[in-house]
Amino acid sequence: MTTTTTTTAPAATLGRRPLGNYVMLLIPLAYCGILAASLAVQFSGELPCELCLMQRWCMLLVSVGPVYVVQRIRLGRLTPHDVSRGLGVTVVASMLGGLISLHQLTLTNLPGHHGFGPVILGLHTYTWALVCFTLTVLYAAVHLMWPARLAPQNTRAAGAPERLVVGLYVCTTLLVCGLAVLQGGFHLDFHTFRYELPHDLGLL
Amino acid sequence: MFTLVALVVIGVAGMAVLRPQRTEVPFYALGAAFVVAALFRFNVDMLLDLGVL
Repeated sequence: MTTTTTTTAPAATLGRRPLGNYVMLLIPLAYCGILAASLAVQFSGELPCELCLMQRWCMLLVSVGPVYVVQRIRLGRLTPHDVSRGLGVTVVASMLGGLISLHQLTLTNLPGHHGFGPVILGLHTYTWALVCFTLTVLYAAVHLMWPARLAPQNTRAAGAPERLVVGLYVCTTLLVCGLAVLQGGFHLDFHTFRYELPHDLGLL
Repeated sequence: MFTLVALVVIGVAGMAVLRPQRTEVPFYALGAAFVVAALFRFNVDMLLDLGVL
């Protein structure tokens, strides 16, 4: 009788946490930062269009996977299946968001057309969104190629950073979706020049 | 329509944060992504033009 043993590479660590745990914190944190910047633009008076809004929802859905993984780590019940499912959601939402960004990019890619919205470091916001979605898909590919090194793991070190990121994600989700409800109101179509809900409720 | 989808996204995000012990949460998130995709593909104006809504 022969026995076979399998050896796997040890997970890379940074401080007390495996590297994969940091990445699972970084993805929602980065998207929360991007969404906060988009909210700043919105509060300055430029309401989002339908495509912008759908890209924001995709960013929130991209972050659902890592947030779910982080919450499983906090429970101490993370399994490789959870990581695969979380990354699967991230990839699907990234591809969808990238498709919407690309659609918006092609709408404005005409001679003499200068695009919509503010320009940040030479690129429009939807172009930056496309870059972010592409980078997220690339990270998922890298993760799949080196799963043993990059896999997040259950750790007793889960604490304040995890709570902070999850809290930020909750606040950002409520703000982005709450403002979408405020702007959409009870209408089937979508207006970009005012918040409809107060008018629908007869408050204004 | 956009209000409904926003509520769907809030629901999925809330479930991921508040109910991580439920292992089907990523599948709900996948469903929400398909709802957004449907909204993107079948835009409201198009449905109105077709007389579906």
